Amino acid sequence: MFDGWNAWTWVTVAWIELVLAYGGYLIYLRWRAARLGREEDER
Amino acid sequence: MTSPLPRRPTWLNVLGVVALVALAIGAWLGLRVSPPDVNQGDLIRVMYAHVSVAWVSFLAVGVAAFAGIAFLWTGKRRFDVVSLAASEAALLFGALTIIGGMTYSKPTLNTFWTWDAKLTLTALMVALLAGVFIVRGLIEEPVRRGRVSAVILIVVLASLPLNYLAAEWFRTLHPAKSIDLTGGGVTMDATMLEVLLFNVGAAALMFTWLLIERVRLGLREAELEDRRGRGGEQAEVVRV
Repeated sequence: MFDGWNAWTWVTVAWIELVLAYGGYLIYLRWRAARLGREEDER
Repeated sequence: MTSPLPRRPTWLNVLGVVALVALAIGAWLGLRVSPPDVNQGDLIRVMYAHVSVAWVSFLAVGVAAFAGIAFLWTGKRRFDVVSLAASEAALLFGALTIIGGMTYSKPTLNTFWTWDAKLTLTALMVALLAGVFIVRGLIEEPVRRGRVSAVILIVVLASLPLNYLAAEWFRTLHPAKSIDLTGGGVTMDATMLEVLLFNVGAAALMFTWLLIERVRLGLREAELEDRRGRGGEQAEVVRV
């Protein structure tokens, strides 16, 4: 499957991994903050 | 729904923007400015993404472990919150190190993975960091939870020098260091070195921003947990 990938495909994948990881973690933090808000509203 | 966090300070927004801009400039430097490598060609551009997060994963482990030690020493809850936040970042950067390393290894060494010393120690670091969260999920009492996770983080911290030197001490597919902090000097093109160091700085800024955001959230969560704990104790008293 990967034999057809050239150098720039691997380079692109490596940098997209960073974007996905940082973006995913920021979304997780927003979700956690929203959940905390709901919990505080319930109290 | 009301916002659970105090008003965001302006400097934190500025830090976030600076981190994201630094990341974008780092990507531009790595993808456009850096020359191709004599042996690896354009694949060297993967190195800037991989090595920068690997170094920052070590930094994150250090912050998590020292905050854990501070919690063991003082018993102050805020150190446990910092330790937890840095552990999350360490897990994020550690997992990125492994995935990025596999992305770098397949086209250059023709394999995604091998169980040699360097890679195994990195996998062990990530597994132990994941263990911190499993253990924290199993222990309800905050002080005991903080103490146990601090001890695990000290073990992870103790493994870092071995991990750093593993490529020199053992037979491994991982390349030897191009920047040797133990006195071997730098064996890297000057432009490549500058691009790498810029990307390390950008990743460190990103870590700092994510850490502060997570600590703000963690302090509020700890406050809520403490209030719940006190409420529980009062309920017990009423029942008695």
